[in-house]
Amino acid sequence: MHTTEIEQLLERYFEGETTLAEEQTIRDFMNSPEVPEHLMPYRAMFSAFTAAGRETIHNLGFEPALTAKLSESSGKIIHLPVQRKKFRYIISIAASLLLIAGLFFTYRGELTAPRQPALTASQQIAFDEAAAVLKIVSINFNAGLKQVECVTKIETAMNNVTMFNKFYEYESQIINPDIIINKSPKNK
Amino acid sequence: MNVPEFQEKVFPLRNKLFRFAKRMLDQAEEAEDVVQDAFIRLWNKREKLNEYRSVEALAMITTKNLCLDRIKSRRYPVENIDNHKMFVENLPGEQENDNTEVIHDIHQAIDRLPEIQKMIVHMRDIEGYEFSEIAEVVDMNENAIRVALSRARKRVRDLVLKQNAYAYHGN
Repeated sequence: MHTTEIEQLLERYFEGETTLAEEQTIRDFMNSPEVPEHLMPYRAMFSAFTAAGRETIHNLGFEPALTAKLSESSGKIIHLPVQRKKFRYIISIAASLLLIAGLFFTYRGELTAPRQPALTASQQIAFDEAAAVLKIVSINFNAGLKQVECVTKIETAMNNVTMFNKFYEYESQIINPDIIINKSPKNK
Repeated sequence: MNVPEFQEKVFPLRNKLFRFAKRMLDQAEEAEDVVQDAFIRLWNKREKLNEYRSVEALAMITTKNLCLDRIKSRRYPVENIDNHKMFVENLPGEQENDNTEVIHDIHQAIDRLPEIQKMIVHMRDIEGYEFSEIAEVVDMNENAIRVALSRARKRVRDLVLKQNAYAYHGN
């Protein structure tokens, strides 16, 4: 078989257009010793296919086990076991539903009952005292805040003062123009 | 159909079904389980088996469906190191000068194909099925099968050529 013919067959092979007989021709050629160098990569491809086609079940117990199973059934239908993974899936859903139901029934009372329990007399006194103390703290805190506001006012005033400083600086430059001429080009 | 009859007619398919299942599942053990299950399904249909035009096609379809079920129920992709270890009896006198590493990579390239292409290239190039037989198993028309087959073959070719280029650069 000529190499050009094989090349044409290969081209059709990769388009999925060859028949089984033509594919066998390619295979025979690839098994022969006269494969030219540029077709060698395809040789590996076809020998990989051939090798794969010869693989067999390695487990020697396969057939006896199956035969035993079939003989045992004696005319009945053998049910395939339900896949465990599917089963696990169902169990996990059931478990989470149970959990939600359980939580609902345990805490249902607390959801509807009034939140604050009644206080005893001594607890009421303690509560009032604490409230009074907190109120004093709050008043003092607010007073403190007002003083802090004063500080911010001083700061804005200070800013104004620095503005004046700048003004004086420029004024001195106007009086003495040398400074501007010497300074400005060098300092940008 | 009794057990000896079933053994005679259906058991010879076991290696073909095993290869097909292993191609799809990437795992020899799981593939054996699938073949076992497929045989049991066929056994349950034993009274009607003679009505089918081709027991082999039915067996392949059953295997395909069992494999797809298993793939669907998987949570994690299977990464098995010795996927491609094959138990192949080499014919006597056969030359073994092809690089086993290259062959290993070719199988990996096939395994990475989309499921349909994988099935088609396996049935055609490894098992030598006619397009009409493949059509029955994958439930597609012959033209669509040719297109998928062409894509799969080209994908494998690209890998082989790329590796060849590397080999030449290496030398």
